[in-house]
Amino acid sequence: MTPPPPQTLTNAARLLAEGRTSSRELTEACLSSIDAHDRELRAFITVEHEAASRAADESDARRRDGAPRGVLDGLPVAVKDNLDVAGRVTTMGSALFRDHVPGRSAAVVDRLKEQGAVRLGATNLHEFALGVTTENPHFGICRNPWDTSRTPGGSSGGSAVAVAVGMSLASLGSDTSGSIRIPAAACGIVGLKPTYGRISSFGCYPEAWSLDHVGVLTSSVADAALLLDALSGHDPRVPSSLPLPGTTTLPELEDGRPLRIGIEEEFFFSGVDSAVGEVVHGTLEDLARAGAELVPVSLPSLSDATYALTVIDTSETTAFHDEQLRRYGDQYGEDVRRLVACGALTSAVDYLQAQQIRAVVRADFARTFSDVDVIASPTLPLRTPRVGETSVEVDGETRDRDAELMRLVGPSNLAGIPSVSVPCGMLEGMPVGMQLIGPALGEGAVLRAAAAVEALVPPRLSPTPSSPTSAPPRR
Amino acid sequence: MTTPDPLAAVRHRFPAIPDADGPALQEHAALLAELRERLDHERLARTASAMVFDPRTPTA
Repeated sequence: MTPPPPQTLTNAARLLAEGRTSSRELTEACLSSIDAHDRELRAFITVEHEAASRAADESDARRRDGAPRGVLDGLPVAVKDNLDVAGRVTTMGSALFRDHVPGRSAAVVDRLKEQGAVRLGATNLHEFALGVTTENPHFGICRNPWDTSRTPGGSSGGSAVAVAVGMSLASLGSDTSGSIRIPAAACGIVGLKPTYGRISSFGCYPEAWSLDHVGVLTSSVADAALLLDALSGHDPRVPSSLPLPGTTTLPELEDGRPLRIGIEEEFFFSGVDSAVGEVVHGTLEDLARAGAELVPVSLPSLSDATYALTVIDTSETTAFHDEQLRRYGDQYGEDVRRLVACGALTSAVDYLQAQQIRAVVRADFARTFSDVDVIASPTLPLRTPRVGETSVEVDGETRDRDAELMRLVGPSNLAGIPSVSVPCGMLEGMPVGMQLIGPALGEGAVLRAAAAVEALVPPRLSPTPSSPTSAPPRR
Repeated sequence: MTTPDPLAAVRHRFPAIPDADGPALQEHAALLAELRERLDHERLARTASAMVFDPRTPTA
């Protein structure tokens, strides 16, 4: 039997406000789901059973006293394990940090606490967030609940899996080259990477400073808006934090104005698996029938975007890991060690030319957004790869798995602009995601467009975690 | 232009990188060279870097 879809954050918040459920009940449902499925799926590195139950009871007491702390009070949420939690082991998905206990919490972890949210635990990730499959050699291979022989994507794979099967009502993640949107698309949920600096990255273990974004993974678009509005805002401790108040995107979802959706074929639809492309084009046609205007657009500089992203990402990653890799390289997983080493192959000239390309790409996007509200594309140009395969077949052509997973999601990290992945259909039993990219500070536009897609797609069923083989051993 | 010996270049910075990483580094160097070759240099000649030092903002 297929279980009902997981509870949404917004629905749970409403039920709490109406006194029709309790935080304890919501939290226990999530903890039960973790107990039932996590041995197979490996979505969590740390589960905070006792602390979560205690926090839920405290929230229920506040509500009984008529003094909830905020919109998230009592709602169970999971946190990617590269976001510091004071006093609790935070591993970064690395053997090096297996016993690391931070003294201060990440800004978003503090925000959750201020709002009264219930923290369920730390979710699995690709080691140091440096990869896109969450095949973690130290804490276990995270698996896709729709088909456990396939990857959930990454690096925020555990955060996505947790939401997809109701282990949490929402999760926090980070996204440097697609690490929120890739797993969101692969697991059939919503993943939002906001504008660079919208959500504080304080206490988020760096990958590449100028590309790192903290964001959210949720069951619905309204949930993403609710969580973004609760977490965003200026943080003077972080130079990249935008000096702006928090967002107010939730009411923007009600804006009924017709959307102008830009379609760029040369980069965003080139080399896309034909069946994936059909699903995305089909949804776009449905959006047009529902009143949206589809506008052909051109962004010529995207042809250089992959080079710029590769150079900036590897250079900044290597600069950060430099001394650590030299001293403790034997404790890195093989793929991550190689990735960090790759950054030593780029020169300062390469890096600065990559930053020139970045300026051109940013200008191209800005020009385009004077004509359209958002740009739409597939989130992933391929079908969800199987665990362990490093190359994939796309319409009979063999390609590098990681390059393909990052190909369409990277440009919005390069430009620092908001981007969301929203489920837009199914293909052979696996979800397909549509990416919607908006102008800087245009979170309202991308979420409004995502809500329009969500309204067209039949309510999703929840995946039923089951393995074609025996459950993988706990590592 | 491809880095002639990527493994040796990487070992200048990370001496303990094992021989087994050689093929992956070679592949990455070749990819970088291929992408670099395709850059629109005329467009870059007209563009300043996105990294602009602003003395009014903190950097740490």
